[in-house]
Amino acid sequence: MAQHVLQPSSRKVQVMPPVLRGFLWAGVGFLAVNALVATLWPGFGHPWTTEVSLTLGWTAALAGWLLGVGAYEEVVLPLFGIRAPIGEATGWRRYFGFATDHKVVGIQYLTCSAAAFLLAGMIAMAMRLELTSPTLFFFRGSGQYLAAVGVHGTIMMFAVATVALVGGFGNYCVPLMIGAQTTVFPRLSALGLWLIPAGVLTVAMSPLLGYWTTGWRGYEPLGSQDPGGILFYYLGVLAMAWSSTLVSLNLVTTIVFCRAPGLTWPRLPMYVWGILTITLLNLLWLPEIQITFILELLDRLVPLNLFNAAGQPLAQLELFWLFGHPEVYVIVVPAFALWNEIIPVMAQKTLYARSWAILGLIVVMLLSGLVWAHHLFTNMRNAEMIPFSFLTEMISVPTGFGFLAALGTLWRSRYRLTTPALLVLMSLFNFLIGGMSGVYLADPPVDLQVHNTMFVVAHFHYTIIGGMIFAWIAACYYWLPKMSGHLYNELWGKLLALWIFLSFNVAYSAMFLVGLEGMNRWVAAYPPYLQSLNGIISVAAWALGAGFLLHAAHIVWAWRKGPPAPDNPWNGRTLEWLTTSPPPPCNFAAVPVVTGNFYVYGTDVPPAATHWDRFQQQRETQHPVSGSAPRLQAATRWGFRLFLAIQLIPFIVLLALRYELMGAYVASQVNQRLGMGEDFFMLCSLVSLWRALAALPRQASASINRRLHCSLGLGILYLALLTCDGIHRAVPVGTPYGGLFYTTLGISFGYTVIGLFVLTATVVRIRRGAIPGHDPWPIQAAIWYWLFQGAVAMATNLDFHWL
Amino acid sequence: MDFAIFGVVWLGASALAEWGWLHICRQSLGCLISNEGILAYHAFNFVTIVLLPIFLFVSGLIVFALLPRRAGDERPPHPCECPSRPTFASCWSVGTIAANLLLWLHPTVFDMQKIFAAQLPANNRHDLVIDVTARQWEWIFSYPQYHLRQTVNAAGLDELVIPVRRPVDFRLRSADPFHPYDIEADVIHSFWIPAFGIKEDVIPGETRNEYVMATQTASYRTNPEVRVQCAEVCGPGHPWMEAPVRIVTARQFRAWIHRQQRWQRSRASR
Ligand code: HEM
Ligand SMILES: [Cu+2]
Ligand SMILES: [Cu+2]
Repeated sequence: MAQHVLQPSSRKVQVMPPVLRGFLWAGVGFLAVNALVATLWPGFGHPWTTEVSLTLGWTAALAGWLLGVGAYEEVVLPLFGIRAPIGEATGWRRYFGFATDHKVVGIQYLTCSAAAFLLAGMIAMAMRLELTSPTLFFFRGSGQYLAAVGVHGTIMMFAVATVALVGGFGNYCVPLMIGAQTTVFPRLSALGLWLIPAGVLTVAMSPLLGYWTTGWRGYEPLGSQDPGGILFYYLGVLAMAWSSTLVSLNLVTTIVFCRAPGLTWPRLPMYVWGILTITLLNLLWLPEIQITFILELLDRLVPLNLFNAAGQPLAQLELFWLFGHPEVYVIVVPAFALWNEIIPVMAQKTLYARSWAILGLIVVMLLSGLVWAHHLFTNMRNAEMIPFSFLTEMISVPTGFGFLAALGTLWRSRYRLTTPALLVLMSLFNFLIGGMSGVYLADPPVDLQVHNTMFVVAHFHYTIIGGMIFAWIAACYYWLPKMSGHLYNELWGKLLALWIFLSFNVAYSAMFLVGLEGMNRWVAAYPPYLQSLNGIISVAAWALGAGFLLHAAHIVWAWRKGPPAPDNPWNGRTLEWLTTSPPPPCNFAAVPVVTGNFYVYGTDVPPAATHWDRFQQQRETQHPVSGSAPRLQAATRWGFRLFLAIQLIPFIVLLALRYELMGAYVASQVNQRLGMGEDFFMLCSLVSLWRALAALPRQASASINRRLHCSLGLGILYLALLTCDGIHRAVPVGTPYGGLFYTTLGISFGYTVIGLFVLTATVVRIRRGAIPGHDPWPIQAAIWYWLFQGAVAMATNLDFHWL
Repeated sequence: MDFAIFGVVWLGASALAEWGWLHICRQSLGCLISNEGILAYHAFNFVTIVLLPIFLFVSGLIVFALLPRRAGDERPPHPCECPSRPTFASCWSVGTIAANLLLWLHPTVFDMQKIFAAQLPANNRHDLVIDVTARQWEWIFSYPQYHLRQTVNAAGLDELVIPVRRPVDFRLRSADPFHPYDIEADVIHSFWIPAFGIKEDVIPGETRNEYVMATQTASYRTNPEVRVQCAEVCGPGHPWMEAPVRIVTARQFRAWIHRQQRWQRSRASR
């Protein structure tokens, strides 16, 4: 069994520790490319760096970093059909390298999030220090304070709030909870992890380039005027968003394809439902925000004049919140799911209204894309306010279903008040306040008063810290025995829980008040009448910060020295408790078979079993089960198509922007002859590839290779013409229309370069003796990618050149 | 039994909380002195009155779970026991939908109707027009009906003076009057007088109107909420992008206008 469990390669070659090598390659990449660009294209102020050289240098550094931490051996060489010269590390070294075990990746994500939380938390402590005084005294200038706000918010959002419960516990627990032995794209997720430290470091270094002032939303046109630091905000967010995209792709595919036999959709655990819904949100909206940030970056470098008075400033705000609101549900939905995962176990009582709770998660997901404009009530036509406030108020109905299930289960239960159980109740309570303050914000007349005041800051910290961070800590205690095999100290756990609960509520309830009294956001200085309340907030905030540190210390202590835990200390019924603690590398000695509902108590029939015979029976009688080779193959294909589908989103955004900005530009003449040539070469290249695909079943290596070469050459010609189109500058650059035109060209260019790279790798692979017919998938994938992006390129080309 | 105890405690606590809110804390939204602000104030209080019992219900159930089960509670709870099974879920859904619909109709829709009506051109023929220009980082006020280009106080700082009980039409622009040809000149600001209870973003390339009427006289000197405050981050100067406001009687306003006109003439002749 378990033929896919990775065997460490026997030929071991000693290399530098991966993280060290990553830093080295990143540094070399940065210096080389930065120097090259700054020399070729000098000017713009600084002699050694320009914003262009920084951007390209950073890109090279990121590539160097990823290759250095292991992508070189584990991704690039295999693409060319070369076997990796080193195997995976063992022992603690696994955590500092390229790890394909989802449990290692999960712990890596959790550690990264915790470190990011510490870093951004320290910044918050400094901000609270500044706010003890009505005048500026701690930071050197208001710009520095605003840069601190931006770095704090960005890191907290993109490396903590949307990561800890998804990349962290999602990676660790979801495969265990569905009885899978591995995830579908282990190498992708190993790679994606290392984008988080890269992104966090990038954002943290941004003040070196100048104090940017926009905060985490990067509103335009302020962003394009800000000092250079905002460059590293765009780039860092791009890296972290990629990480979440890869996590989501991997988990969604795993959930769809790798469930244990008998684990039907209605039986799916609550937490898995939560992760499933939000990974779908991520896949939809992360590409959208990435293209938006790329546009902002280009707007700054070129400039494109898309988002200032010449274009449409509001377009950027809308694009931001279209993503931004679903983002907040990516943060809290896993927390909702956790409540109902932990409460029935701690109460040993059947989960009440389970189907309602699941329905709630799904409806929240569906509605989350429809309420975004409530962030823009101060920018709205009257007629738009009423529907958006309606939808916003109504989203509390499905949210309430999470409460309904939790409270119904708690009712008259013998709730075991362990630390995670207590923290879950605190999360419920805090989120109740966070959600109820949202009801005020949904009413436009009230919102027009409290919008952009500290009331809003308190509201979102109540939902994020109060709801999500408390649930995260609860999950840490709940799954600690599973991950480490050790228990924590119950007394300390509860005391510390109480500590953060009290300090959190003091700090943030006072923050509501200070907002109601007229204190606005993003201010390092304020009118003196607000000082006493701010003092209370700061003291409580420091206590809160200390409380988080103590929790971290307690968890680390318990992990290493805590009393040993039994395999199933809480008497949980979901699948992760069916294996040992900590689980073996392949998760389950035998694949479990699910026969019942995990959340029904009061019966002695277990919901799942690991009977080998029954599993064998299933395998023989039913469709291919999870983990089997055909199933994994199907999963890979499905995931790959999903990946291609989300690549469409940037083009849709660009198209939408063209229509939104219609009033702002004069469509100008593009070079139609060049466009015709581009389409011709692309079409020929596609036809030739299509014939290669058709030749695959005949296993005719030589003819396949010939056709691949042919389409490679045509692709290069296409790229050359595309470059001409760019250099030719038929469309004036500094106009919104030009901006969208060249951005679309640029993205086509990027996709084509990737496609050519993959195609080249395939050609090399066949040259090196890979027989296409034996393992057709890599070739098919390369071809599909090329077909897909070629078709998109042609369609957009058509759109721009003729429509 | 539990049900009855919980019900009584909840009703009692709700009554107490409502009483406390109505008699002690109802000024939470601050002192609001404009027609729009008074709407916001009543809406805030109404929402609170609806939310208080709901808050106490949910948090009460959470606290109830914390209480140790009484020893005398002889019947061990069945693991499937829920508050009278599906009835609770149905009541809950109907209840939340009803509460949300209520809050959406009143205050939201009712108030919005009033605000929309107040903005109709027919209702704003005789407004005092004040052109507000936001630039990094200054609020510039001009009164075109009185040919005042930029009003300042004795210290030379921009000053906004509004007559009480007279509708005002603020025309909001974000631009740099000193560099009118620079399309990249300015950024988004937000025009906010905390005591008025309303704010509106000011966007480069757009002109927006905000209609309000002050309901009582006030001054920044006695109430720091009577100030113009930028409420959208606009760069390092953002915290200090504020201006004092005075709300005066019609007579005082006329006197102030005359003084400003005199100053403007003397500045011009200098
Ligand atoms: C450790 C306790 C924390 C404290 C004391 C704290 C404090 C603050 C303060 C003072 C601000 C500036 C508000 C403003 O003027 O706009 C802020 C902004 C923010 N915080 Fe926190 N925070 C904490 C934790 C968190 C966490 C855990 C998250 C999310 C995971 C978070 C997310 C944000 C965001 C998104 C912003 C907005 C930044 C912006 O306006 O660009 N914070 N926080
Ligand atoms: Cu939102
Ligand atoms: Cu401002």
